[in-house]
Amino acid sequence: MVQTSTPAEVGGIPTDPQATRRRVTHRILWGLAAAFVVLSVFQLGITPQRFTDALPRASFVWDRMWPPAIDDGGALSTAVVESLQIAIVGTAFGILLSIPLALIAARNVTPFAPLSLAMKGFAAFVRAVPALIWAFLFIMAVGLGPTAGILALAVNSTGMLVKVYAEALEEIPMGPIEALQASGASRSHIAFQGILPSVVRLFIAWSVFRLDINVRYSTILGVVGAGGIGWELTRAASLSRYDVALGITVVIFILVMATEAVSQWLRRRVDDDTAFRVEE
Amino acid sequence: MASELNTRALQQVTSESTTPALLSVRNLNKTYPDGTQALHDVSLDIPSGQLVAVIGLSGAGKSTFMRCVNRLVEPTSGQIVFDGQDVTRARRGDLRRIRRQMGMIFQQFNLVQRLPVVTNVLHGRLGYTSAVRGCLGRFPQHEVEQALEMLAQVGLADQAFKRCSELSGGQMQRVGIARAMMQGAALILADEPIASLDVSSSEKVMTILKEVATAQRITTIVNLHQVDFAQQFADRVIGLRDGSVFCDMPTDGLTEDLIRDLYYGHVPQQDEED
Repeated sequence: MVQTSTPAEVGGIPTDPQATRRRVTHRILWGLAAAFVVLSVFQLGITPQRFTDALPRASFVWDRMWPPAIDDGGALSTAVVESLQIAIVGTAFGILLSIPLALIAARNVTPFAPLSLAMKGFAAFVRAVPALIWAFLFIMAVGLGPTAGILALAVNSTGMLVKVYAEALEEIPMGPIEALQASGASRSHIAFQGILPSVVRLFIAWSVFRLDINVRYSTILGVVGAGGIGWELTRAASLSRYDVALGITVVIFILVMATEAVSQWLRRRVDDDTAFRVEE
Repeated sequence: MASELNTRALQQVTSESTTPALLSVRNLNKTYPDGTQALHDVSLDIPSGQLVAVIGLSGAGKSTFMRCVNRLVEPTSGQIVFDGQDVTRARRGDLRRIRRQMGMIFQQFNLVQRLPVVTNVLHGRLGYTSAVRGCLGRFPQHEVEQALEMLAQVGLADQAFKRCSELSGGQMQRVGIARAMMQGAALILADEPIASLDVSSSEKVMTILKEVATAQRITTIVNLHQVDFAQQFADRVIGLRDGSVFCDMPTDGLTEDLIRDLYYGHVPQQDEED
């Protein structure tokens, strides 16, 4: 019924009914999406006037941002170091937790097949919950401060690392493992001498990448009270010290860029080391 | 040289009845979950010191037979006794102890590519190494020296500290032999050790296997594709066809007719897709 009313038919060009149905479905979906956007704009009261009204206030803030300032260099550098510490310790805990879990999650090395699926599901769940929400949960559990931040990053990292580690493990050649089994090696021997050497470089590359992500997260965790430089930013904003807020933002920017540079350099080194893998 | 080998072979085969078998296989059956019957009622005795070639078409059950001996594949039924120990009934710890007395060599070498050659040889000692030392790869000095000696024996003394991935196929297989020898095993199982190698590497690898079997009296079972290699190197030849023992004799008893029957005398209705 729907098909008879499509423009293609009206134009007299015979079309594949399936393609026509797909096109209609697409149009309906696009229509719904557009309707939702328009409805949201009205419901949230977003009018051109709101933007024009915001302009004077924006210029007021802007004027007071310049020049960016560092109010208390000592406190700020302590906060920067704390952010880095949260990121590094959180990543380290995440890695330590993820390696054994990935050994369970990887199809080819899991001690018990149904556990593999369960572990992957668990990792997917942990991954689906954003880091900030984990931070909230841990603040409720252990109170304000860096501990909550570290736990949030550790758990959030685990969600991702278990997945990528398990995928790396699933790619390893099984022959050497069979050989070690045949020589009477134990499970732990096989894990450390047969499996780990094959994946260690991929593990390092992913872990460095995750550290990079965690440094970004650690700068923002303070906003909810989980320690680090984010807390300084929130404080400056609530004291209306916009120049200090901009100063802190610049510091965060430098911190994140530096981390990314270091992480890329590290990963390139690992890649160079693994380049010969292609010819195998 | 060939005639020398044959007389030796005959002596060994004739002495079979007096020496107790190192490996004794009784009514071994293996049916895979998909219904493929890979082994059918295989019974064999292999005395100490023999180099036995197992030949037959691919899919005849050579590889399954070998993997049942160290239980990389679980037999469906039957009994395997190795040096007085019941392999088929062994539980995990006992199975590990049995396995470390059997070295295995693989078609694809199965070395850990990322590790140095000497470490791969030392892996042969893992069955004797404590959990912590083994995991960290910290082997005692005398074992490291022994591993270097093994590498010298297979002609790879100068490659010991290279990464395995830098070696050629023939060299990798010699590392595989050194690893199996490192176990100090009484039995070596070689599953198609030369199937991925060129002729000259194959000669070298088989010669080394033969030397090990003769000089150190290590019983060696070799699955082979190539009948000529079996005739050149083995004391005894076992032919498998469709999972059953088709022939079992001293190498010089193997006639052209038997070979033709083993490889081409297939009864069509028994022919499976593998």
